[in-house]
Amino acid sequence: MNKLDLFCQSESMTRPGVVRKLKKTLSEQANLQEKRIAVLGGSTTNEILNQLELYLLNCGIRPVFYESDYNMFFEEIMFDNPRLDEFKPDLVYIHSTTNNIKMAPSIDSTDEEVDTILENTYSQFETLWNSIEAKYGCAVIQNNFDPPPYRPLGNLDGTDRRGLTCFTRELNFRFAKASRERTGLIIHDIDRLASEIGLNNWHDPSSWYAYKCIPGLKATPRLAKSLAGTIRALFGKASKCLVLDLDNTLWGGIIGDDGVEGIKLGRETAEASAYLAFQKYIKALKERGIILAVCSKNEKENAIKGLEHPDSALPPENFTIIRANWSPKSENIAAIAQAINIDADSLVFFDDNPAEREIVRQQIPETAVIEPTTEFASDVSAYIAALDRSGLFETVRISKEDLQRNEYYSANADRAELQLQYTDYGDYLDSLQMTAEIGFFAPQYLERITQLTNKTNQFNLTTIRYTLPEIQAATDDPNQLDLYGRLTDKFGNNGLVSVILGQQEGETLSISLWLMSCRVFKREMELTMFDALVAEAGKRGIKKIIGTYAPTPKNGFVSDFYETLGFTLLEQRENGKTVWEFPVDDDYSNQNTHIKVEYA
Amino acid sequence: MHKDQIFQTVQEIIQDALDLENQPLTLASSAKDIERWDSVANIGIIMSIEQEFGFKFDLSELDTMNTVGDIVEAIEKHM
Repeated sequence: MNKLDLFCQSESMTRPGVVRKLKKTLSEQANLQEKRIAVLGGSTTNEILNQLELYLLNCGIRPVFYESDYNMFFEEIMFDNPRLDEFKPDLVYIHSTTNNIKMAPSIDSTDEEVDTILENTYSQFETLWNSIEAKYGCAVIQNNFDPPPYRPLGNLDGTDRRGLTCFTRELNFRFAKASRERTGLIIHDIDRLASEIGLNNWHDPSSWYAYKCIPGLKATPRLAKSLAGTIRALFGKASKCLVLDLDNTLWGGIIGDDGVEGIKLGRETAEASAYLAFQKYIKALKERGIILAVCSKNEKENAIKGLEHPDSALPPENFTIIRANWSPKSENIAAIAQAINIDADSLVFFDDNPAEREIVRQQIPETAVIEPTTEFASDVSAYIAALDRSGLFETVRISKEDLQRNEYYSANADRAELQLQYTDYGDYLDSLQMTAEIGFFAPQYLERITQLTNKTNQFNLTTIRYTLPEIQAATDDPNQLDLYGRLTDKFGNNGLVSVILGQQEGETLSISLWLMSCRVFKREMELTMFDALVAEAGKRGIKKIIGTYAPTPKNGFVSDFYETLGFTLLEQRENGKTVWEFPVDDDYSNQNTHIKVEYA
Repeated sequence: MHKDQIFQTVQEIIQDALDLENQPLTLASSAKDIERWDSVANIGIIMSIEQEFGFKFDLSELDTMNTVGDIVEAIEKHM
């Protein structure tokens, strides 16, 4: 079983025995991240939990579930609920559907009455979200409304405000607006999912009458997959980079044999237009922040020629890295991960050739490998759907960081080139003309900070994951010392790349979180952050700083970090944890010598 | 398809769904006798049978199927 395989296949799992065995295998994986998820249902949710667990295990999350009683989603939130209080959810999922709309317009409702009913229904949910935020301070995933199964008004049901179809559409607009305005509210678009699966599969009357299940049982795996993609994104684990083959993937034919004139790409034939459409879809992914890479068995010169085809939507500059050679693809993919400095589990590989897919699956099991087929097609016309429905690039919000990500990584390549010109590393650092901005957590950065705590694995001393409300709470607590760092250099802005969070007790500061993005390794940014920390600690009358290193399989990089800063070892625990101490006094002199510092 | 064959297939599906290894069932076996065969497991069993035999049970059948024998009989009607 390869990681994320379930996301890459179009068919879904239903047989209980198969599901059970898969789960058993998947729960034996190392490094599963535990998440406490409360599922509050407006219909029977057992099978949803069953399938969701499978998909979450498949993306490295071990869910601990709380399940509400049947159709008690409203009551269990609004009234005293010690069981849920004690559960302390990291996330609440409200599985409500159109079936849960208690009051809908009737045929004699006036326009004003419809407005009132709409407002009442909406505010019921809004009350729920407010209550969850106040009680649990965690994110909420909320279904919007699926199209009703039947339409007493026929086509008019969708346009007349008294029709339930029209009513759910209006509600969906309200939900979308709420989600734009509330950081902790994520809408799970079952309206779209139901259309994708087909309404006749979504609304299965016998699943409803016999078991009170919505969606129908056969559609449940698709719901679970879609939901798991969103949950994965919410916890900062979504894939970041798409690695693409060229021949018969980005165009029809073999560029080495057929030449630029011979490959199929453009508008001339059905096949050519399908390849162009695929390129345009990928271009849209790139524009929203997905990094693109090429991994192709080709002469590099030919690869470039193909990408420069007059109809190409993806000229070479769209790719952060192009690996076109005759080495095994698994080697090239490892090299791509290394070059852009991200983990292999953030990569998604797309190749039309089953043999290549198999090699990558076997050699790099962490990398997701798309099966480029659907139930409707097994040629290029299936490509977009296969990628689109994988949910691997699901995102809960488009941040400024996302839009700039490609620039960062391209700039990294430029920096690497510059480094070659210097024999002295210090000279190279100076030539980068770096400026750091350091400050206390500010509202506009909280989302990015949360994202970093969830996806930073290498330079992360404690690897404690935080939710947005937890980060918010830390900034409001006067005993917490919080610092962020942004770094700019002559090639561009690296954005917010480092975070420190510490708890002050009297004259002691214990660092609970210290992380830095791999984007800026070996730039002395960590020293700059420490200088700022010591300065701030001094101002607050802190006499000693305690640092803890908690080892994980991925953070060996910082195992002796505190030692290099000048901390002394206090304690070595059995689980490998080490505790360090640093005295704060007036003799401290700044350790960073290459970065100019500005305080926000 | 013979009644025996249907029974064999149903038995396999139930054993697989309930993780009963090779514990044999009879036509008289029912959810009442088998602890793991709760309402949640039952959904999986019914779904797997429908998938395997390629039809859907009538709602009236879902309401009245109590034993393995009832299930086999209902399947026979749909074959």
